[in-house]
Amino acid sequence: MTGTDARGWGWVAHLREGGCTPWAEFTGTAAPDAGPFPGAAQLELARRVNLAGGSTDVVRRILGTGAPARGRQEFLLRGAVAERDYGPRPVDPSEVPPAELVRVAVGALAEQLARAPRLPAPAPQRRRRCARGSGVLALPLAPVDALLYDVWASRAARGPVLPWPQWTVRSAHLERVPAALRFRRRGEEWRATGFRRRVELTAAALGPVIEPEAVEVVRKVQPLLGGLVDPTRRAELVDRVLRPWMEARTGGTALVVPEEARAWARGVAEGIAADVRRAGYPVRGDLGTLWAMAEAGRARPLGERVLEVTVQVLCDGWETR
Amino acid sequence: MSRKRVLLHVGTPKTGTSYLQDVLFNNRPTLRAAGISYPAERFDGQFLAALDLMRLPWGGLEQEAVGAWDELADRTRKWSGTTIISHEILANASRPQVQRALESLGHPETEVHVVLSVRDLVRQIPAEWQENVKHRRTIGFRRFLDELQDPEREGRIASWFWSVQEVPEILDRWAGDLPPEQVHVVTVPPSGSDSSMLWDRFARVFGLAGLDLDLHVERVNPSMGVPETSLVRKINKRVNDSVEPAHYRPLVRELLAHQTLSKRRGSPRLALPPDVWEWARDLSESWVEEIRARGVDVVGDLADLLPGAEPAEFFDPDRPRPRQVNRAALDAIEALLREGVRQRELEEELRARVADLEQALERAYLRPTYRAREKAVRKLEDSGLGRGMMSTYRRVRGR
Repeated sequence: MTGTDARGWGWVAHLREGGCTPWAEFTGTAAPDAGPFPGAAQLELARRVNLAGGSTDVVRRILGTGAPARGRQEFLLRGAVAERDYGPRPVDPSEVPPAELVRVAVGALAEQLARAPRLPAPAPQRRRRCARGSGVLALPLAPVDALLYDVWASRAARGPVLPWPQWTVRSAHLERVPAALRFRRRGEEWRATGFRRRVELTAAALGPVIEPEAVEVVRKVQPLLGGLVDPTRRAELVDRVLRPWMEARTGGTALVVPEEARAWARGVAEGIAADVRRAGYPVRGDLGTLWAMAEAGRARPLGERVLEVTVQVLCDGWETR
Repeated sequence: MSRKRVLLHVGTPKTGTSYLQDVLFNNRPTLRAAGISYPAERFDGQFLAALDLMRLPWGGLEQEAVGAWDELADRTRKWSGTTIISHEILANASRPQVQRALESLGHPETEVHVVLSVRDLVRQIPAEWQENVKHRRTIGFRRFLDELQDPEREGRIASWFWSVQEVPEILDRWAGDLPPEQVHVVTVPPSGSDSSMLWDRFARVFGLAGLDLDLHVERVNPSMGVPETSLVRKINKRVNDSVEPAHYRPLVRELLAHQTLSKRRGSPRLALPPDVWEWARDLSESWVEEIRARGVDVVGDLADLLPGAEPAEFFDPDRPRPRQVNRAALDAIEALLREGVRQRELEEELRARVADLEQALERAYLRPTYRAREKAVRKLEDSGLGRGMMSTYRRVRGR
């Protein structure tokens, strides 16, 4: 049977009161609670939230929750549980991998989001006069890896999407071109919406790069949200909270296309160029930009940074900068 | 009227749980008449509730599970007799999730019993590997075994396996707070036992003995042999990047694995290599001692969890005999061809129906009023102004 000693409960109480002392240095004690003893991942995350200035409410919620989704079931706290001949080996909280802390954190974030009060109805937009219709569709002119990264980031906000390396490699195997990068079709659809519709390619059409770690947080929270709220509420939270938050977190560098998918990415660039030439769209810049992919860089978000961003949101909420 | 109590069956996978759940679902009216509720509106209703409780994303299915656990718990609290809840993935629940589950079902005021059906590790380990293969994984058997034996239990495969198969640990999580007489361990009889024996044990623990239940079910989850499982693994390697899950499920898992390859007879069965067999036996012995020491109600015999005296002959699924795999592959090709023929016939039938509809449409197009309207639209689409007018018209008409 599992037994949890007074020092373990002492640390729980310490963390609930905003304490930041690591488990290895903690010496206090407390009487046991009625509930189950929290796992080492929850405890370490709570400590990090305290370090970042999070509220005691957030800490209480973290300590009272299990980790969502698949992964290691729980991490027992070494030195606070009785030795058993079975079960996972107890660990020091500092040894819990960042990915497991993120798993607990995104679960807490999804619940926090699901519980948020209903948002006020958006201000009614002024009805556009229909047939007045002159307008330019500005398609982005940028290196194809940046275009692909932008597509992936948008998808992360819309629904479940594979991590960046798998998404690019899988798309390469399937020889799939994202709909957003089928410029000719997009141009034709635009032109069919009215008269005096023009299409052009310009570097100005691509927004600043969204920080990969912010995309990763949204990518992980999104599917959990699907299991907590109905589709209408989910759409509301995605459109008015998650996406604006993600889009405001700019300033990083895009992830590089993995080696296995680079030939496919070049093919996508060629397809875009062929589309543009065939359709005769004006290009404001050099079409050769499409092939200027980054040669070096990271191909996945940094685990520690994802954790940092997640903890920050747990503390500050989904604020847009 | 029977007294109010909840029988909560929390696993483990691969212990005849699907059969039990199908019988319970199909016999709900009979059960209700006997004072037993099996609350579910659809066959996977309790699976959805388990997903909801554990916040498990499951290929989009979790979106249908929002609020499902609370609904299940609400129905349970309102029922005055016995309620049976059963899903094997509940074995994965963490302590806070267990606490939430028990409290929502009325514990400690309501008498909650936890039921855990268990099978010996020597059969469970190969069965879980096969299940992984049927879910698109490409991991080899030896690597799978290495991951399970790694004490760190890192990675999805080992963490999931132990969370749903490690019997003493599951009992700690689910039943640590319950008196031993409210904890029931049902053992799966050894291979070759009478097929009714397991059902009799389930019937005993769930109070179903003596009820006139229809025990026939459609859904079966049969197992494959060594060459068949190896073949599916090779198929996974080939098609994982090109066949979407929505097509994989009906074509590979259902058509090939369940309906074709698992029906082949005479293939060597999956087993553990001798070194792993010994490790699994030792582990099983320690589990048996642990369960015995708890004094819980054992339905069956704890000796069922121990393997026989000698390991079964081991045929390495990572190096299957090519001839056996080829034969399995021929059966697979035949099944796919038959399915291809069926799809082609269906396509022809649909083409004929489309042709009929097109003819009917054509006749409608020949009417003079339609032709005049078509001419006007074509003319408008030729100019920018016309396209704008058409766009406005379509928006007004909501098209």
